[in-house]
Amino acid sequence: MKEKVAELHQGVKIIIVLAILTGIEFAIGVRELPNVFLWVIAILKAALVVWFFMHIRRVFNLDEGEHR
Amino acid sequence: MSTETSSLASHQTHGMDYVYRMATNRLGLWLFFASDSFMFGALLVTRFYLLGGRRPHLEQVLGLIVTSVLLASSFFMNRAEVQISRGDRKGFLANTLATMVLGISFLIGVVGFEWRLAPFGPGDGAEGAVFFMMTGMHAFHVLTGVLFLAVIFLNGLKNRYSVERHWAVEAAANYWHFVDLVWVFFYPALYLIGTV
Repeated sequence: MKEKVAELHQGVKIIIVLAILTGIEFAIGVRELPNVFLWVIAILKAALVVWFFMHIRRVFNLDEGEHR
Repeated sequence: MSTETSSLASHQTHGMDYVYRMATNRLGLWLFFASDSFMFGALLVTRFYLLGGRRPHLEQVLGLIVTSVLLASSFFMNRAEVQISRGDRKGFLANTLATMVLGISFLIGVVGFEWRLAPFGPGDGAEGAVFFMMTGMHAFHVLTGVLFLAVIFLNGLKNRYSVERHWAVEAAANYWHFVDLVWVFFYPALYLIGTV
């Protein structure tokens, strides 16, 4: 159960980071700063979603997840 | 005694079957994501091939709002999945409902407002073709995601998921996050990269 509560807290942290990154990319976009920053932020956001929300590691590790 | 042993063995075999099925289900779902990514990747490449350093003239604030709405929906979807895995059915239902509402809000924002506010139509050159094709294909995925969520919501109401068995919820959650993932790249490509 503790693990699940920690997972809920982790979700809050991830969404805060994603929101901050989105704000930064908006600021970069409207100021027309170099596009490379936008690509870096997009890749960073994608990595966070794939790792923490989509749990890609479950594909390679059967012990991950709750279905046992 | 022998009946008990046989029952235990059968239970274990059934459990092993389920673990094997889970592994193949997960692999199958990720292979689907991989194949869908090629289609979205092609749309992304098309955008840069046709428009290059230009970007469509779009409502920046509206773009930020719909992006935030979709990100928030992913947050609630993650909570829904965690809630069902800890046996909190009410929490699961509430968070799934919140995800659906935010998904529909995203659709209204893009299809209902952005499409109407855009100063070009789908047939008005490369700009229109790229914008409507990318947002249209993504909106279609959001719509199917909302339908998928409606299915797990109704099944949740009927108490069909347990702590141990909720593959459909995991699949729906992953599909929803995939749709969000696509927008992570489409948002800057359409709204932020390049000059108007």
